Amino acid sequence: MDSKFPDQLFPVFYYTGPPKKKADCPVHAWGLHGHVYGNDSGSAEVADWSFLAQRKVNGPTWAPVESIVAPLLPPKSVNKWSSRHLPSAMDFPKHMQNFYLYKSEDAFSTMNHLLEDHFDFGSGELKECMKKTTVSMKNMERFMSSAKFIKCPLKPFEKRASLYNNLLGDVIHDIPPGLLGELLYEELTLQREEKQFNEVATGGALGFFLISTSNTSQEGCLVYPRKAALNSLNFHKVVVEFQENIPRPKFMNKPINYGVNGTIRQVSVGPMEESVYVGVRTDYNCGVWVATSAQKPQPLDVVNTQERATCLTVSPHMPGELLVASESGVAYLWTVGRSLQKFREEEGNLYFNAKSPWRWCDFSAHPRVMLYADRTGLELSDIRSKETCSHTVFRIGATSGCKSGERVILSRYLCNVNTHHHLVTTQHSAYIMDERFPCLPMIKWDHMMASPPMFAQAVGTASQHQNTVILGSQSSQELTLLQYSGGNAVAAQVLGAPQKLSCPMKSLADLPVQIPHRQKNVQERLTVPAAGIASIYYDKEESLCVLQLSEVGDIFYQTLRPASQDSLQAAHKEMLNEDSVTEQSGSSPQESQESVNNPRTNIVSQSKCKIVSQSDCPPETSDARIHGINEPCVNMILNPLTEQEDVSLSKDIPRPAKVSKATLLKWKSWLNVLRNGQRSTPRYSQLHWTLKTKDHFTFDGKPRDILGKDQITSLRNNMREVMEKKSVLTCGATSLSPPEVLPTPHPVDTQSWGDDLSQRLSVSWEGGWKDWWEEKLGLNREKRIEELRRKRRRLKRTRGPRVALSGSFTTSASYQSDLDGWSSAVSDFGGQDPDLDSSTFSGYLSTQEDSAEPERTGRVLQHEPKGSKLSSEEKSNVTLSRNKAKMPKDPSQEGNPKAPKQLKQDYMSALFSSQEEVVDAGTEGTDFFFPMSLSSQVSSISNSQRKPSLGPFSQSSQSSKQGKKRARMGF
Amino acid sequence: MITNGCMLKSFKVTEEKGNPLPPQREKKPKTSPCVLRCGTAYGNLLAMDDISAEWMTSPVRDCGSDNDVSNDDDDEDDEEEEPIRKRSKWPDLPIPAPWYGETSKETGFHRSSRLCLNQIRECLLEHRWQEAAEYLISYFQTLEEISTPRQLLATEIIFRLGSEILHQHPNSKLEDVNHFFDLMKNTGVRGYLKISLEHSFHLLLTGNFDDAVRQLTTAESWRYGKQSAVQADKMKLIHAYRGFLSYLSWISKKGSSSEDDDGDVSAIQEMHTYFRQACISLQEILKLPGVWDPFVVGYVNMLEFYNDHEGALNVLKEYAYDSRFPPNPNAHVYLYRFLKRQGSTEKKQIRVLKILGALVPSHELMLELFSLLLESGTEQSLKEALDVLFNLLDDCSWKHSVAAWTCFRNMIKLLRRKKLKHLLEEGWETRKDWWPAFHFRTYHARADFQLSRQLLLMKVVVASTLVGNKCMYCRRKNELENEREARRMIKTHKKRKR
Repeated sequence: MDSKFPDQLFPVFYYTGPPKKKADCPVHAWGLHGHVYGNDSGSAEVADWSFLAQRKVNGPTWAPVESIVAPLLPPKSVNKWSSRHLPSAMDFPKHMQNFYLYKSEDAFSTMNHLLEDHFDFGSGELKECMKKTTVSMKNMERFMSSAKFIKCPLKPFEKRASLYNNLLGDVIHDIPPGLLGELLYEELTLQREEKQFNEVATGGALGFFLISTSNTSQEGCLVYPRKAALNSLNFHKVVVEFQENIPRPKFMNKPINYGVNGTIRQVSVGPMEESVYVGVRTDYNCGVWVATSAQKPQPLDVVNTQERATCLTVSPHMPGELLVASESGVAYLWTVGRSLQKFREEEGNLYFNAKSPWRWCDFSAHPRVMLYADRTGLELSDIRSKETCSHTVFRIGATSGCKSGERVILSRYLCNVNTHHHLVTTQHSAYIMDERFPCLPMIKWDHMMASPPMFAQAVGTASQHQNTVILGSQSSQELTLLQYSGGNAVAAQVLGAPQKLSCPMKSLADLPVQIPHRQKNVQERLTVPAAGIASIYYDKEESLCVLQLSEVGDIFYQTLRPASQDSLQAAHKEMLNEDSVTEQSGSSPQESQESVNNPRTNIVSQSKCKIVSQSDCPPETSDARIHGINEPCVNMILNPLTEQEDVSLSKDIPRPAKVSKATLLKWKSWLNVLRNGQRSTPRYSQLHWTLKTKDHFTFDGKPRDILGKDQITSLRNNMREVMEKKSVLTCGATSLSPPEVLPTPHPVDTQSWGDDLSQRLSVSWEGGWKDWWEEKLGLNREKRIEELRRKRRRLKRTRGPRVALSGSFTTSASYQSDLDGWSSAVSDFGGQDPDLDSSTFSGYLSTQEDSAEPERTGRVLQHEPKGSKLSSEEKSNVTLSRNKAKMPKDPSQEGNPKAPKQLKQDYMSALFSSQEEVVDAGTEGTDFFFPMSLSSQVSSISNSQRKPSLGPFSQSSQSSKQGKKRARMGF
Repeated sequence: MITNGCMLKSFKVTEEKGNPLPPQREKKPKTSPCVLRCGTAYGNLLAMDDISAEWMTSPVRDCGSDNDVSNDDDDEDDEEEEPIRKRSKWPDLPIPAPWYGETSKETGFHRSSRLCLNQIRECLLEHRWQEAAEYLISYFQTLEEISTPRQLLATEIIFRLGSEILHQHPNSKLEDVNHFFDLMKNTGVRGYLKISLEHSFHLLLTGNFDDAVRQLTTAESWRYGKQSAVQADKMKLIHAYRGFLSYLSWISKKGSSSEDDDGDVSAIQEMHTYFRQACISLQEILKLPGVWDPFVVGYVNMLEFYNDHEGALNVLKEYAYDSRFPPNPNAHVYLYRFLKRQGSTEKKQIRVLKILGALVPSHELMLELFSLLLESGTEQSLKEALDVLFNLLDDCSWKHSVAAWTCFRNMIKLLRRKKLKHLLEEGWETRKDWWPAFHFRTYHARADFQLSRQLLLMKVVVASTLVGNKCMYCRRKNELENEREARRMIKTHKKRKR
């Protein structure tokens, strides 16, 4: 019986005047009973009296069925959604800089055209008459080219820049910088403000009306905007069905959509009688559709407003009546098919100057008395009388206990809850006003939301006489559930404490982890501000489904069911039974007792429950099914959540985690669609110059490992086990055959390398580098000769004159080991050893300038033409064939018969360039004549054949072979 | 950089120029007859609110608000100026400062306490009481805060959070709550009265009446230097509740003494003591503007018992007609009921009910007013009675009320009999464009029929009189009746067959 007024109201002081309180204490929602009165039951005994508190502390609660929201629709690919980054107004110089640098056409085009003739860009001859009035642009160009650097483009030219600025600063801009800066600053301020709070979205663009109800399901129609600009109105049939005792909304058929001219800001749905009227507000247009349970929705009428429309409400009493308010301060009654009837016009704000053009209107219990609201308060105005006759319903002031700075954000007529109740929300509080007793709120909540609530839904649940109000905020996506009872026979009473519902932003934490950049993407998508909420109440199986629309058109839902203590306990016991895990450290027996008493608060068991549910759906199968590919990283992260760790984790996961398999699957497919939808980001694909390495690393598509699929899976399992044990995966633990044991290489025998370089290197390794060179260059020659002579003398002395000269030569040859390189070089000089390093030797000879032994030089000259006869062509061929023979051993080159030509060229260039380098280095010091001729020829060839650039591979191969080539150099 | 330099210069210029928004003329509140008395004190206070609002809204701007106050006189100036319709440059909506956000000069202590508070808030908002309790234990260290305002705030926060957790925690016992309240009372002097009051409420709700009385008595005698306005109000409330509880004790004593008629002198004495206590406290609170329904009812009840009818009437009249008080419909209801109990004249009763009717045209006592007016029988009163009915049925909460529609049907009959149908015409004139859609659609016929057939029949009479016999509602009603008849026929037919 809505017609009754409470017999007694709670005692309260009636203050008048401006708000006195300051917004300081952030916990006003809790702790107090408010006021109390005794119900005079007529009994004599005091103990029999029941007392009513203004705030009943232990109210009935709604419990979410799952801890996260679920997506209702696949995500629409939206090119760009703005991140949560708030633009700062002081960023305007940066924006101006960007404008000048990247939109120079727009910034300077006019002056550009005017001055065009007077600047010479060096193209074409200048006419004589023009020479005087023309400026060369060479300097200018240089100056401009340096402007590519974003950091501070003008710094190196500071002086000249300031000169140019002095000369042209006043005239060159199409838009004067002062004006541009001012406008930009303003725009940025506005954008920031809009990001924090965009009042045009007040009311919310999501609507729902019921079509039919049966015992097992409920059919309704969801009205929501779609497309990137939210400019397509969709009517979509929704069926709420019970699956495994959980109500789930499901879309049926295809949506019926209508294109709308402008972003849909608000959807207002009337009550379902024979037909239902749906009002849609865009910035400057309002439209109305009519739908019946049998026919599809039809557009009826459209009106256009001069100023931006701020409100559109469909009448709950009369079919085809709507209220429209715009920023001009005028409110109209719009009867469909007839013109607008103005019923109220306010130039300024109602009670004080809040400097806000925002207006709102709504219906009241009397069909001809309308509610007119702005940021300062609410008034009822009778539209029958010509003169404005108005009553205050609510005003910002001390009467309703407002805080200073508080403003009305939204008001809503709660027709379906109580015909005289209005909900008013402000940044800090939510009020229930009774229009029969204006000014003093019947109920006041502190909703504890971070950003102001702009969307509201009220559900009257007849069975328990409790009314549920859901508030939704825009930028922080919060959803807060408040409850109250009474208002008819007994005074209205707050039930319980405000309850926060989960929002898409926080659902990400309970979803499988993604690869970081995807995670970031998804996170950005999920933090998009909300644009509306709707609720579906199913009274047969008491459940409440809350839907939330985001600004990019995603719809998420969550289901709530009344949480009776018994059912919760039962559910919790089930959970405990499922878990074989015993309570571990950190939870005393008392705590476990507590957890049984109040399962919602038991973190430990709930986190376990999460693990159970996750391990319920094997990641491999589900991943493979949904994503199409395996994502081992996801599995790796998911699986280590085991018994060992869940105690420590339980401290970190504060939220009750309970996610069903179906929801996880939904999320996975949603994430999949989101990922596929935005694959190409052409803006960033060509940022740096890339070299194609396709031909270097051809991969014929065969799997690299020869293991079968079974083996791979068994290997994965092994890996998982090992990770659980935190040990190392060894070959023995797997089913693989043990790898081949490679024999250790033989110790290096330096003696076997006869060439000079190897000898030098081995000597210098032991620290004898200097000695070696001294000996090689003959710097100690005289010393040695002296020594030799002494030795001979000694020998002579011992043997006497019997020994012949020839004998002395043979002995010297036999004493090779004693006389080392010097004597060997001398003795073996004429030998046929092919490894003999003639070039070094000839070099030595030429530096020696020692013509004391003519027969030796003659031999050298004989040897030289022999080498020069070989044509350089042949030589290179020889080297090439050697290289070729070696090449296939390189593992990365295997299986590449396709491009031998290319390969050849690469090798050639690699070869020549390396030779060239070495030769150049060699020519610096000594005067080589023989290799010089070769190198000049080679370089002429290589220059013509060499590719302009070399990939990293060819370079590395070059360097790896350098050692060998050096040895061959003097060939 | 030149560009930036230019920019900054220009920005500064704009800042200096920064035209304040055109001053907005102070708007006089519009008051209607029914809300006359809530608007009296506002006129000059509004400007103050404006200033305080300015303080909150845009600290960037410092002019404008002064103009709002001073510009009341020169209207011409204002009209010349551009109205504020255009989107204002500056944020017009104060987003609540994120008190839970990081501040620039924050010590580690403050930071940890802020984070802790956020955690507790999260827990409470998600109804995880036990976890919140654990966090609260750590939060107690904020009481070590040196600065006084912060310490006071910390006390308040701890009290709020602590009591909420204790109310909700599955393991909390009454002793714990009592202990906590006692501790909190003495942590800061300022909270003493509030916590005492809250404590007594808690005791009352848990059925410890005597303890609650004791709490209030202790709090009553509490004295501490200078009191703030809030504390003074709390003290008054404590007195009032103390009086109210004395009244409750008085009732119980009255009940027990009337049961045994021996006339125990001491019991009567005790009753008198309670009466005196209650009288003094309740008298005090009733002088202050506010909603005091339970107190008024109790006070009048006691006065009536001791036959002080004059006093009771004065109290009720004061409560109903004093312009300092809010427009409380219940005040008029109590007065009317008192008059009815006292058997005062119908005229007086009608006068009270008429005032109530002006305040709340849809009040359920309007049916009584209707019958009272009907009884007087004059044409004028009949007209008024009809108006009352029309007004009642304008309100959508009476849409499906059988009683109201029956009254209307009877009224039509009476008017026909008295040949005063023109009265009906007068009332109908303003409603004929919207009542058919509001009451007499085919949908309503079906809905009413489902609700009760009686309602349908009553409404059909009214509809046929007002709209005409061929209205949608009547046609639908005939269809429904025919359907019903047919169904009944089938049923009886089946029965006969059997």
